[in-house]
Amino acid sequence: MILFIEQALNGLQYGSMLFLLASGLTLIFGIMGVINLTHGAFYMVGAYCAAFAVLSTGSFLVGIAAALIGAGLYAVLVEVAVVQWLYRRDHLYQVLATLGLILFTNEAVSMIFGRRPPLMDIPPLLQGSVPLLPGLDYPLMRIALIVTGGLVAIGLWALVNHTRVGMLIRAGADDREMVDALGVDIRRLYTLVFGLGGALCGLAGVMAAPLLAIEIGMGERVLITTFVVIVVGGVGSVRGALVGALLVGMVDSLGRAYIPQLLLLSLPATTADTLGAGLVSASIYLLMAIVLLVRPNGLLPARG
Amino acid sequence: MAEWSAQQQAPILAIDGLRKAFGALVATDDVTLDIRAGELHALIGPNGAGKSTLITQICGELKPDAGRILFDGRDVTRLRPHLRSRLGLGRTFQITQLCPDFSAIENVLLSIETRGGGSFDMVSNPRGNAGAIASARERLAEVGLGDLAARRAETLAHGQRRQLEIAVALAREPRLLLLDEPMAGLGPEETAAMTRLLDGLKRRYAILLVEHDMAAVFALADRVSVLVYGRLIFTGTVAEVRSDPQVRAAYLGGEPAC
Amino acid sequence: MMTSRLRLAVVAGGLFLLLAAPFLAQPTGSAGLLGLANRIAIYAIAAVSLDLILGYGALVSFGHAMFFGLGGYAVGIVAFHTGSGEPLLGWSGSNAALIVWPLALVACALLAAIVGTLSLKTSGVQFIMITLAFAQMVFFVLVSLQSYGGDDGLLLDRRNTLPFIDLSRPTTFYYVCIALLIGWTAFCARIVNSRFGLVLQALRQSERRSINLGVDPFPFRLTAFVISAIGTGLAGVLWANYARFVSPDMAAWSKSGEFIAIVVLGGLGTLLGPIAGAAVFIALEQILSIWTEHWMIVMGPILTLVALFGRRGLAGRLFGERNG
Repeated sequence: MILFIEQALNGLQYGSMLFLLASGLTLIFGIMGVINLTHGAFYMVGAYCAAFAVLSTGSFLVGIAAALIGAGLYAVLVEVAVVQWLYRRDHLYQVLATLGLILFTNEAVSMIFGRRPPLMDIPPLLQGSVPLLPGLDYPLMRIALIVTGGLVAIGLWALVNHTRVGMLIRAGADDREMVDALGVDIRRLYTLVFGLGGALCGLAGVMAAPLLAIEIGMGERVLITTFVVIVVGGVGSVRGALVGALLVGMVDSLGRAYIPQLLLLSLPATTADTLGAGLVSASIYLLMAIVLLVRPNGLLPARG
Repeated sequence: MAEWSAQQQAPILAIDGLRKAFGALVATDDVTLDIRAGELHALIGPNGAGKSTLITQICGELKPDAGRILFDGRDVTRLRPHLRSRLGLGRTFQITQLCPDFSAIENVLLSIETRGGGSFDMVSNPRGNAGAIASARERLAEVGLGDLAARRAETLAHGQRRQLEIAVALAREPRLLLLDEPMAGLGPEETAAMTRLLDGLKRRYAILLVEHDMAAVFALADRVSVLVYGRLIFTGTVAEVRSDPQVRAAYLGGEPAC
Repeated sequence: MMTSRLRLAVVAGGLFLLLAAPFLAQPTGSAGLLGLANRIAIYAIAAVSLDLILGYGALVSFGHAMFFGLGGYAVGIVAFHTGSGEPLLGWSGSNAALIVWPLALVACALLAAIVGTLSLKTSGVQFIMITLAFAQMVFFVLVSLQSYGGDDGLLLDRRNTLPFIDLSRPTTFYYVCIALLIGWTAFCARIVNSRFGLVLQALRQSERRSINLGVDPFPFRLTAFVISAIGTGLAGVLWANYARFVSPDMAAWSKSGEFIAIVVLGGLGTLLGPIAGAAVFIALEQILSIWTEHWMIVMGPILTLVALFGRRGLAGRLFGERNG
């Protein structure tokens, strides 16, 4: 039981990180209709900025600021320099253009920061564990990540439902022409949403950096998982991103813990090992396949 | 020869108690209507009356909330759109839907090719099928595009694209033609030409014509149905529609009938 | 008239270069050049296959590397069992290309049928994401296959064998690849201009029109998807034989991206364009990587520029009108 709760918390923590990435990506798609592969690169840029800021100042808070600003600014730069020319083009060209940007970003980061992965320690304030239940101590850093995800979810909900920008976001997702007709400077709204998405990636980057390896290519792996989250949750919907992120986080974490054990019950050890490893890595994609069979548009799509 | 009368003909399409609502807006409100063999039936009504919603339900792109649609006596209410088309339902669109990269004749060939839903034959080139080519050319000539067979659809003028849409619809020898505002965006001369074209099709096909151009409607239609706020308020001959006070009040706005 | 003659000249010139590559490579004494030509030929088969659905069907598959990888691994795994004497599901294995290659292609077709059935429930950006995700699943499954080398991949002792043809000779193997490239491209051109191709292209241009003409889109798109996967699988089979090495990288997301880049660079919906695209892309990669280890910093922006400005690709002007 303790193991189950611990794995569920791990799932919550992973889901929380995925939500930080997926919410920005799904908003960008919902509002601008653009598929942006560079999103994973924003996450990597955030993690690197944080790691080097912490390394040179020793302050985690400076690291957070560096990640938010670094990733946010890079996102704005990417939008202004490349993505804004692609809004009315076919998705194919958006894929190709942002694919090129990924290659560029990966190489640029390795040239600037070096090929050796930087290390980032858990800040003193968040070190150690807290006893949640008798027999269950859970690391504070992971709890912090879960809390961050929760706060961002509340913040985004408030932003989308209770602010002027949020109203434009909702209107834009439903009817781009109407927002145009309102005379709103749609270009600035787009850049703003892109920057916001980038900053959320940076936040994910700095919070995950002490827990995961910081390396070139970290962005793409998480990007593809983020796509799974969005497909499961429904494209364009923040609520869908939340549900999808939690589901994917849980399935991944519980799958890792239980699939090998379950297989060992019924199969010889060598077969169970090979098959188990395969199934564990395939679990979230199988989840996606099942959702597609039942609800092709995802669990909570933005429209109808 | 006795005067042609819709009443003597069997219905090709019968719509019975059709209803469709979007939230509080009732776009189709208990509509009952039939189109008879060889009849040209016009459907008129102000913007937003629900004419397009009705057409999309007849074609199957939109599912009604209640009511039935019978095509040639068969209940097609739950049939998917591509299957309805195969039964002999041909249509044109308010906003032309053609294959822009195909030439005019290829668009018509496609229509001939897909009568049964399209082929998985990966070897033979339909452009080499002399019979189909000849029949496609005939269709193009019939709508007045005989000289433009090789032109890409994208490069055709707006009016020519409207004519091509009709050729595409005719090529499958439909049992019922749904024409969704074929005169929209046409100049006076083009409208006259289109009216002549439709007049030539009359009697050979059952036609449901949705149109705003009253002169054309009054010149062509056997019967006219008037749709206002989703409700069918009147069905009758041209003469009856012109003199009906309710229709004049609701739709013609008292303007002198032309 | 001018363009059609020019078109013929360019095609003939390209064909001549492909056929003459071994002789051009010989005097320079460089086996590297023949290898380069061979890699181009193999990638070209994958690119032509992808163009069939990308250019003619508007199905943006961002996961075609899964078929490249599966084709390669099918060859690799059979070779592994044949070499080690351990039977594979009771079969002692074979080294005959005429047995192994069709087997690999059938595996690709099956995977494509499953992935296609699920992915085609959606369209647009979801289709892109889903094909990418399934390819990533295949990638991770390949990584987890510890008995077949896991992350490190699998070395093949020797190439598959054909009767009367010695595939172990580089020049012979090259010509087999070229023959398959020409044959496959001709087959795809035939499909594009066939009755099936007419419907497939109509679905790309106006799905609504097509449905209202009686077309059910799904079986047409699925069939095209499977054919395209078989071609890409063939490229994977040839790659495994060429490199005598397979690794999960064959199914990596970046490989799928490369295939897309090659098709767009060469010219979407032209079939011959992607062959030129493969040549330019592979050669450019080679030249840049000799020039600097940071060659991605140049290659990345080139792809971005191609997407921003190169709407019609290398072959766009020449083969401007799409077939059909």
